[in-house]
Amino acid sequence: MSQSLVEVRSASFRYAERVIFEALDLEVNAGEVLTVLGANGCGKSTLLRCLAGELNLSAGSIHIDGEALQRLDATARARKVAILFQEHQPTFPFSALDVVTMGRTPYLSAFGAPSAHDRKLAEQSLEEFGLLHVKDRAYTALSGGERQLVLLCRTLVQEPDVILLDEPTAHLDFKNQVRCLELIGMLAGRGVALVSTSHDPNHAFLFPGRALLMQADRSVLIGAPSDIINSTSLAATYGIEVGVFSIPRAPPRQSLTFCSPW
Amino acid sequence: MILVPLAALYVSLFVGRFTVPAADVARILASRLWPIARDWPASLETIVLQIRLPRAILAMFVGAGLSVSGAAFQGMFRNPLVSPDILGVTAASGFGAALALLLSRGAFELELIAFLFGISGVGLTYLLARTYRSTPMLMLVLSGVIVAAFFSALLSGAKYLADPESKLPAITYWLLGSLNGASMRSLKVALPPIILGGAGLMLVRWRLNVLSMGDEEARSLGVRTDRLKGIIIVCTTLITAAAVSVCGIVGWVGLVIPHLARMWVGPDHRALLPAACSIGATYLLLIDDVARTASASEIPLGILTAIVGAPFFAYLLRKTQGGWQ
Repeated sequence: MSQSLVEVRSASFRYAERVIFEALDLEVNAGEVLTVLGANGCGKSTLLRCLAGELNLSAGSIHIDGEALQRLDATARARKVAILFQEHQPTFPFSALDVVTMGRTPYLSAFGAPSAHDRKLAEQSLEEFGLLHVKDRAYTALSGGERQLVLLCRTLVQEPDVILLDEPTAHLDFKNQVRCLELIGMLAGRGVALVSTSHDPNHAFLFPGRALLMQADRSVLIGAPSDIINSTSLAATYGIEVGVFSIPRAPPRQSLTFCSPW
Repeated sequence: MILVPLAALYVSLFVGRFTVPAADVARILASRLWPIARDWPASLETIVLQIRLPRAILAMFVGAGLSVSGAAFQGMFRNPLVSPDILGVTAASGFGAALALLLSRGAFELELIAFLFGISGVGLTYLLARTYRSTPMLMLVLSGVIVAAFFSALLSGAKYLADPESKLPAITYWLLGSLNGASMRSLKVALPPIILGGAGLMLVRWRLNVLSMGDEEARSLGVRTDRLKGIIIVCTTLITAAAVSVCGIVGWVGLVIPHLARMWVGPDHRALLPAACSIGATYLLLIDDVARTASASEIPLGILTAIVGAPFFAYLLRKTQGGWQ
């Protein structure tokens, strides 16, 4: 039995004739954040949806915590894998607490409703994220940032082994971006395996874990961010010239690496 | 939530063209349970037990059923402008009834035919909407429009063929909706599907919350969305087809009442569905009281629900500025 929570073996996916990725091998361990980078429309979200079981691979296999993803039924899958989609527009003004409580659904019977215990878990996770003040507010009335954090809370009460995040910091202001990144780091610290797509290569340097670059020629680079993120690979991914810089910092912090156009 | 409809039921038993004293209503009802000396005329008992009681009970169940169906569909389609007839059940049932009237069938056969047509109409919509392995909402809505248009055309055809002296008025009047034909027998036809469908919706009301967040979201939370949608469609169709088959087309109830309920208890379907039942039952009962007492001849129910419902909906629309928050 392998120790990796996510194990992808020679996976391919194509929409009709269009190849999104091919012969992809990948594993994500507990406590690791895999940052998926690539240009718009390169298939980052597609990869995430395959990992969530929303889309089926054209070939290859995905194992979550040692079990084949396709063999898991919807409930068992939702107990292992949580996914945070890009911002969506909800119709009805559920309270933030109700939205977080929905994360308990995979633990309820088909006709069941959440118990007091489930609500308590939801409240605790809101408190932990410093969001208790929004618990009775309508989810629809929250700012984009608060909404994203509430949804992160929901993935927490889902108690998954793996959390998939589709551009979690998109549309957030700077403060909420930072809070969101902190929370991702905190989740990794608890032994969850995370896969997060991002538009910002700098995010890869912030977390323990590797980066995955989906390059323009459909080849994929996987490795430690400091090994694979450089001006050559970024040019091959985004088709632009950027520099990668490193500044030393006082121990125990490691040097800080970042990309910048100039 | 339970007391208000029951109070309305009691009131409905003594108002009418022939007023029965409130105390007598109580004693007539009690006499069914305890031995009480019968010092009231037998005609009074007939009016209360044989005519008004079945009609009032039917009004309550139809009102509650249409409202709870509307609430469930609005949640499922994530659209507060949806009503229970969106999948074509009303149009199909209406054509079934017109066909039965055209063929001079009795009341029982009419109800049965209308019910079966309603179910088949929705079945057709579902088959049309079914794609490779899922049923997207947009496909369902568009298929519903197609099926409704098709059955409306058939209905117009039936009207065109109908004898303008006798059958055309019968069809037209039936389509306007009325509880005039309510009897113990129509209760036996309509109540089982309404209760069955209502109970089914009540069972899935937490999952309806999750489904109303969107298909993908719901699936990621472990909800088998296609199966859940199937359950909801079957339940609402049972209710709506049964309602239409016994009292014709009663519009606006399933659209407006869920909004009232949402204003009262909020969007959580665990509270919303029971609230919709309660308000819907009371509303249709009171509207039907007006229908049978306001003028010398009975006013069709569908006219009244629209006359009350449309301005009220306009008021809601203005008040919420279309934001539905």
